[in-house]
Amino acid sequence: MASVEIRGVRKSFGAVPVLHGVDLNIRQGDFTVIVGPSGCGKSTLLRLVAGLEDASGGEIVIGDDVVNDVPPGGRDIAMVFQNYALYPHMTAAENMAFGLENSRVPRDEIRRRIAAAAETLRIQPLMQRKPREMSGGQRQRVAIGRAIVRNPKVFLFDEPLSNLDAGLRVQMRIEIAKLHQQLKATMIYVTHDQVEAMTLADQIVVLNEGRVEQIGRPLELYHAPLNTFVAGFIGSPKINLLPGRVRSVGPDGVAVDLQAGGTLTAQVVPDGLDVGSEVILGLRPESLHPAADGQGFKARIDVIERLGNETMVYASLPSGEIVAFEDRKASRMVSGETVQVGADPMECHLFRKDGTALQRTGQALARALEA
Amino acid sequence: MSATQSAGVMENPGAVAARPTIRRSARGKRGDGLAALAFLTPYLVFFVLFLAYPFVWGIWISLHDWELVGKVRNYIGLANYWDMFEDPLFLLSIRNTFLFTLMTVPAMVVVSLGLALALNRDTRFHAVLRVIFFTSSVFSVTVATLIWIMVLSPDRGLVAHLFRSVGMQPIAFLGSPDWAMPALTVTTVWWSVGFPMILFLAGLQQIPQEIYDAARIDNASAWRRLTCITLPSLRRTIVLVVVLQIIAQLQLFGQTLIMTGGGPADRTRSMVQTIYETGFTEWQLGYASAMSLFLFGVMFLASMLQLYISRQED
Repeated sequence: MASVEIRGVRKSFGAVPVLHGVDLNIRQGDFTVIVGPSGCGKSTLLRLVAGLEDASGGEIVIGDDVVNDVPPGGRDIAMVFQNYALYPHMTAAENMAFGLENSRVPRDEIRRRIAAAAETLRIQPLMQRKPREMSGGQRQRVAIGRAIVRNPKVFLFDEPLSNLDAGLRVQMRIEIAKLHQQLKATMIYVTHDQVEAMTLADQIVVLNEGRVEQIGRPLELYHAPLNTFVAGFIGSPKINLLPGRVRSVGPDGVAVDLQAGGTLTAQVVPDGLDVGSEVILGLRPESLHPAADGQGFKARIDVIERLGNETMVYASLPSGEIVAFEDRKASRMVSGETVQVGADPMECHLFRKDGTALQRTGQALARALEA
Repeated sequence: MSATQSAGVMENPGAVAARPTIRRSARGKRGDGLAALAFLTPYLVFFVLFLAYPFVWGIWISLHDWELVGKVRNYIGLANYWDMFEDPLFLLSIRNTFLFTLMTVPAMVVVSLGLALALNRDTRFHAVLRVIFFTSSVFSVTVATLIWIMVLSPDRGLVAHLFRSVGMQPIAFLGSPDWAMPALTVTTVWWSVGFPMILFLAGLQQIPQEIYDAARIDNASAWRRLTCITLPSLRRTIVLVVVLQIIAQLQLFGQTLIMTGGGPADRTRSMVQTIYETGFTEWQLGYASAMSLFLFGVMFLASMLQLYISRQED
């Protein structure tokens, strides 16, 4: 187990820069999830830590050692790949033993470690099977087993669940979380799935176009995103981002006239915001709700999704934007109906025109994090 | 299949709804069969005319004392086959052909695999080298052998220069009973290494990069990656190349005819050369056909070996 530090790491493929100076601290034993859209450089960052790519600049430190020039096999890391990357002609047991044999671990010790890992992952019956005789979920378990037996300083996961079906993904996610609790190992996990990020992480790193947008605990990112990108990436369904202009700044918060008509107030620190400046109001679907006439804005219901535990409503504004909101009372709204929608100022986010967030007031944030 | 289904319906009169479907599908299958036959006909015509008929005709001829020109057509049963194995010249050509195959096939596999491993990189330089190494396969046997006759010439050949440069007397490779066969092997490997190399390159490109990444993380040395990842992953390709090469090298003819004429002292005489001379110089077509069928049998066994090995893997 070791900490990982990434200091100003840059990476270019030819003339194309992929990472523009990434700084990241991962404490020993932490589960860090790197999340971002396709092509944001998250897998490249993981491969740099693994040593499968060479950094164009900056330093990668595992434990106390700068490992930039250390080959992957010497970094004492283990990696679980998206396509499992099991050796096709070897049995599960041979796959797990391969790395240990290369490091000249004694035979008895190899047998002992494989047996222990197989027990942890409940894969004893698969040990003599070859990868082609296993299902996707079983292969991924064996791949995780191959990582565990190495007893590495750091575990790296590169989108390990994306090839599994939805049900299996949830199950494996829980197992990976349990595994982390059990092993208490440092883990770095790359995914584009924000649900995986939110459920697994001690710390989430949001990456966009090769730059770190924000690093923080899952709920911190959810309730206090630093910009519209993070706000939009974390949370499902996505946050509603509505453009508008500042109408007034007062003790009750910043009142915003929405472009689509209507007014809403956000409890944020105004930080020099002028009346009339362009802003973007951020409203989480669960913060929006049907309101009394004269409050909030009008929207015409397009689709209602009744999921049993919640009811999601998708509605269009006069300006054509679509908003999603949760109808907690499961009222009898129907498609085509025009409703008045509002939000509690304490639950509203506000962003400047350039996308950077205005800090929510301490009171609003405390309430959000408490909930 | 449709017959079984129809029988099932007759035994079960309750299955009324299924009947029209089955009838339609039976008619549909007849239509499919006709369409398939229509597509196959051009190939079948060629197959029957130029493969099946000559093959059966060849077996028939091999059972006769049959002269190429003239009217001798005496049925002699298996006598040609018994004679064949008492004919010292044919036995010598079998020995030579097998020896040549035994020398050439392993050399071809090792060289083509080595080249494929060295050239399996995604740069322009390697692409150019791949083309260069494949170019020799495009040459006709005449061109390839003439090049090597010149290279191996004890007077002015490239090898002769090399020998003299280190103060040695040049060897007349093609005239030496000991060196003629190895010289043919070198020529053949140089001439036809391109195709197996391409097969190996295709095989190498099928191996996912992630497996090599995993092996690097597993601290596998380059040698371990080759022996534990690459070679096992190429097993099918290796079997294919070995069998194709056995079949190709058993048919050795052009190289010996042009480079050594089967000599010196029949030391490079191949089976095909003996078959050719028996049939077309000595006009003994029946005897030549029997020899050809023996060669066919050997190559057939090699093909079956490949089928057997590939089925074992599945």
